Amino acid sequence: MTEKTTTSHRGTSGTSLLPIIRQRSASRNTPLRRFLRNPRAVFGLLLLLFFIVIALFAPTIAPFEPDEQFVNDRLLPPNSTYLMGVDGLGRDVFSRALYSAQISIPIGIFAMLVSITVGVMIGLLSGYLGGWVDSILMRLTDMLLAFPVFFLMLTITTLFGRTIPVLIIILGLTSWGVNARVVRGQVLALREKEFVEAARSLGASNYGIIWRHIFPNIVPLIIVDATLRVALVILIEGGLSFLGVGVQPPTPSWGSMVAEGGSLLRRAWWVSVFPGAFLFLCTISFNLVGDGLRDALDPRMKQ
Amino acid sequence: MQNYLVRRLLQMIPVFIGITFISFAIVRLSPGDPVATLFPPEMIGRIDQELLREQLGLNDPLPVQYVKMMVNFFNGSLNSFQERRPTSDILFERIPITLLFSATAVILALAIGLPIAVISALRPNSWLDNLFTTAALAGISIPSFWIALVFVLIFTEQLRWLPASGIRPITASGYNLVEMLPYMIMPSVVLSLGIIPSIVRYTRSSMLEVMTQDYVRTARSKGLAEHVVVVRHGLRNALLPVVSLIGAIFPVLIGGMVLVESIFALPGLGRLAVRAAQTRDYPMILTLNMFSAVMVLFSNTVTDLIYQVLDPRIRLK
Repeated sequence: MTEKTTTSHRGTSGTSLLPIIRQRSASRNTPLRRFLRNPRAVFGLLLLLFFIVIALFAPTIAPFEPDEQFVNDRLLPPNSTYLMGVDGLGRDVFSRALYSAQISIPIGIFAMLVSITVGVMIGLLSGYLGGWVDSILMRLTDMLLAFPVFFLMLTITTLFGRTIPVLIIILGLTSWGVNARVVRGQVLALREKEFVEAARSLGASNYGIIWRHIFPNIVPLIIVDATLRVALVILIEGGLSFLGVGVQPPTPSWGSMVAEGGSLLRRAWWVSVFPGAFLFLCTISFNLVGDGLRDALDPRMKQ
Repeated sequence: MQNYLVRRLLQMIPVFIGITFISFAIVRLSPGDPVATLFPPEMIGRIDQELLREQLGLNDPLPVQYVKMMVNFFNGSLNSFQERRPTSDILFERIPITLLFSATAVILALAIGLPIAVISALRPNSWLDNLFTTAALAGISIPSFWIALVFVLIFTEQLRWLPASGIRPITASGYNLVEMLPYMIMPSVVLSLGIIPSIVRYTRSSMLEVMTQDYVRTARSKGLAEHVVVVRHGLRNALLPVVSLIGAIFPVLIGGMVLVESIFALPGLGRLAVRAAQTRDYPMILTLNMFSAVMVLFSNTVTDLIYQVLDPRIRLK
């Protein structure tokens, strides 16, 4: 019986997600349970926790300092002392890869915060206010999306210096386009709903309607997008660092470590292969969790 | 239809002008001096530097510089700082190789992605579908520059099957695709890895939707063979949204080319972009930005048009 009412509710609720979630939580089928039932998502979460532990405790876990040089052991293959070998400057690849988590993950998270804040703001304003505000903001979004973003970032980071704060701001400010469009689409659908109509007829201000009635309904969407965005940003930072325009040596970053090993490939494959594997696993952990969240928060998307 | 096209082209103009403004602003507001990068102070004296700056027009007021650059750009006489010849010439020399690799990557991605998507959609939530979904998530998470190096390590260093670099510029000695083939395999595969996941995800969900439509049920109840229903009634309709995806893939491909060209030493637009940024070759940076923006705008418009031709239900107004 309960199952039946849930299904009929799902049919009529359209694009708003929260009513479904509230209704379902009564019947033991919460997003959290759905998430934990998904082996892929759970694996992603464990992997993500692993990387967070690495980032937090790198100094404790790492056997050596990231820039400690053992000149006599240069290019030594992986062994019991140097788990992932030694690079061309005599530094322990394993320790450096651990310390990179302290650089790349915060860059990913902070850049995501910038990106999501801008994207959600623009999407909300554009979708809710419509008219000329919408036209201007959407043309701006078109422009951003017409730039091949990686190319744009390459240009800006090269020209404006390559410090980490600059990198975070640039990664954030160039990647909000898709998010703004998706949020706008949701808001366009939501603002025609009865509950918004009702709030308006009760005299709620635009500000109040946006924050109290529309925003909560797009929170699941934002959470999913934010998680996937961290993955994307970490990957892009890796690419920029690989090209030498991201995180600058000697600060360890997975991307620049792969680049350092690129020319040594024949003699010492471990210098680039291991850091790249860290980058890959860290990215996939965020992607798995984001994908799991999407299925858990919005079961209709899974079909 | 014609009206739509005209309006669409007119809409592109402000977006394009905006892009030129932003590109110019990024380039000119950034700290650093292109003259010092091109000729280090120990190479030429202060007076010569000043002369060069004057010659390159770097001392003009910014609005004048902007207008000059635009006028020269459309005349085809905007010269690269570094090579001292028109940026459009340099650009056109390098387009073929980038185009060749992008096109190969897209074809490869479709050839691999579409069957995967159809199989996944026909048995949603089966173990095969789950496997493919996981593989797709892995695909978007793989750093292209890393997997490229791993490929080189395996196929060049260990197995000695494929060359890692050494492709000639296509324009130098004619197009010999057979000779180029071994050089093309690894870069194309790496490029396509980045786009297969989006093709799979898009086609899969579109296919799932199409297979529940009335016309599919009609086709089945008519007694058509299942493979005919899947391909002719299902896939053909499911491919419509995928067309629009191919338009959106373009900017992603250009980004991917930057990394892939650097690793496999391909003389295409990507490497040109890295060099232009590193040497502060303002005219070259602007030309590349404008070119890629135009390509994206253009491909979006063409996508919409193709969409309409393919789906008679859509009428663009």
